[in-house]
Amino acid sequence: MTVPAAPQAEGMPSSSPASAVPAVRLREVTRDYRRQRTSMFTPAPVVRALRGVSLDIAQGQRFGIVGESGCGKSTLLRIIAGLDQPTTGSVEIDGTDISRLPERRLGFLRERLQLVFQDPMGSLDPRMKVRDIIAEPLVSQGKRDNLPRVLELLEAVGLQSEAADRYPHQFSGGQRQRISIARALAPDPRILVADEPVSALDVSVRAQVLNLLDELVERLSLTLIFVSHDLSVIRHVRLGGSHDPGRGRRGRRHRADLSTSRARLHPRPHRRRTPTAHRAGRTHRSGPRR
Amino acid sequence: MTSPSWRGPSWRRGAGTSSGFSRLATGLLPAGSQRSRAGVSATIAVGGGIVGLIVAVGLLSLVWTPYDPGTIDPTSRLQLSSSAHWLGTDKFGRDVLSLIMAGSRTTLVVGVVAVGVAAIVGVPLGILSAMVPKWWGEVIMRANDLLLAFPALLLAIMLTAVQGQGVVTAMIAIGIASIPSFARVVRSGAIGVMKTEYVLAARAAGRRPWAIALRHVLPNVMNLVIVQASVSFAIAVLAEAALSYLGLGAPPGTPSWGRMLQEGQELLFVAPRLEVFPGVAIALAVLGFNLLGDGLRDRYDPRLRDGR
Repeated sequence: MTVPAAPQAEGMPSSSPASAVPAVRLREVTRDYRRQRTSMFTPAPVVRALRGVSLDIAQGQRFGIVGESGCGKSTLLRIIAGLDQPTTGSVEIDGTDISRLPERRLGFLRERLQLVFQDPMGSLDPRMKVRDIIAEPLVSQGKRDNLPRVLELLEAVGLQSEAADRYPHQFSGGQRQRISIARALAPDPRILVADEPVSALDVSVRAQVLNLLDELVERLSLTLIFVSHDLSVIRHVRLGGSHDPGRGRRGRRHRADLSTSRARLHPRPHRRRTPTAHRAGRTHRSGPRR
Repeated sequence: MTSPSWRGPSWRRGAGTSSGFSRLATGLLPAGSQRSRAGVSATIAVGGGIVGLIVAVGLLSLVWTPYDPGTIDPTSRLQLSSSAHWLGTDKFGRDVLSLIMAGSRTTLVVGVVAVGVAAIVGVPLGILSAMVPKWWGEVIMRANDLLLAFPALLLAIMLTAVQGQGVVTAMIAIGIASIPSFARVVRSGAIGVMKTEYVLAARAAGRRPWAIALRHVLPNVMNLVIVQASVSFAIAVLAEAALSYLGLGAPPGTPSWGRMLQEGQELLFVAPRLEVFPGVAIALAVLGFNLLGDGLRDRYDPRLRDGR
């Protein structure tokens, strides 16, 4: 299998935590949503989806985000991917602040960071052929004649080349997720963001898709940001850290945990100290609140 | 309008799978063929058949009609149906069958152009209103409502006053009056599409808004557009007949079903067939397009689909 040329030079991420610029750096990111007004006389109620999230993700790191549903995981990802803007705070990708850039100025981000979505059916346009779906990030960069690249990607994710001329509904959930992964890898990104990529899949298929992700991330030495509500899934892709408890309703700050080590195969999510320097000493909760 | 799920006039409301029209249509077919496994419902088959027939007659009239529809023959005025004139002749001695055949052309052209105008303006408007910030979408839709408030007839009278009488004026008036329904239907569909993950994925892929509109939103609302076009076509047929009947559409000399109704009016008690035949033609055309639209909607709209 030949996929993108990737600098294989770097060893394990844990060995070089200080590789100058972090791949992703968030500082005190908050995101408030306004709900529909309930009365003409009171201001619209505000939902605080994120409160003061700060985190650093080193180049080549595998970073997991765990949290119960509704705690802002997806909001966080959208902000990292430049699909949503934080209310306050800054988001830097490879050292460039994207938090105030309009979407049309994010071309560089699209080449560096790509997403795999949760819903394997909903994230593929039912009226597009697979070849067009996978080529989409390339087309939007103005590239033509993308078929060889599409076939290469299909092979990399373990699909037949005949798949190129079929439509998404002709595939199973696991296969669709492979298509989704192929699309994400098309522009040869350095950072891959996966939003619960297996939670909609059959248990039997999960392992295959996770193994594929694991293998590709390893081979291309990508930075992986992986969201899940399931710790066993996180463990499967050998993510060190976990994090992001809750809506902050109790005034507790969100804290994203940054652990880098591959060695920590079995994270203990409950009550453990955050290794971040500037918040050192704070206890950190994760997993479901009770 | 007390029904909680008000979706239009009762004859168009889908009750389960079969609306009034589809029930009527299935009644026309032998039992057992009610809904073929191939997925083409009886409604679509009957509606499509009628529409096909009208189109075929229209095309045929381009090359052949029993008599020249424009030829006035004072020697054979107001004849009854005979082997020479299947549907008789009118007060000028013109062959009614030939007039109806030629009139189908006017009907079809008016329908196509009116629906075309409505779709070309209404579809982008609907997509636009779903993609711009919410506040601007509301502004577009309120402007749309303003247009919706004008009946097609009033619009046609206004346009006629400005442009003068003619088929073109009628077509444009009907088209403009049909814009709001397209914009509405497309907007609701496009809002749904804009919420999907594949649009999010397209944004993440770096697609520009116009590319998303063209590549993702438009193809995914196309089925709604087709359904709306079919329903609007039926309305356009009726509107054209009404306008021509009132003298706002086809000028004298142009074969048109609405004109035939008007010309036969004074002889209603002498020769009622002069009203009946074009009336039946209009009713059949409206029925055909409505059936087709209903059938397509049943097929595409999952809310009305019968669990299958």
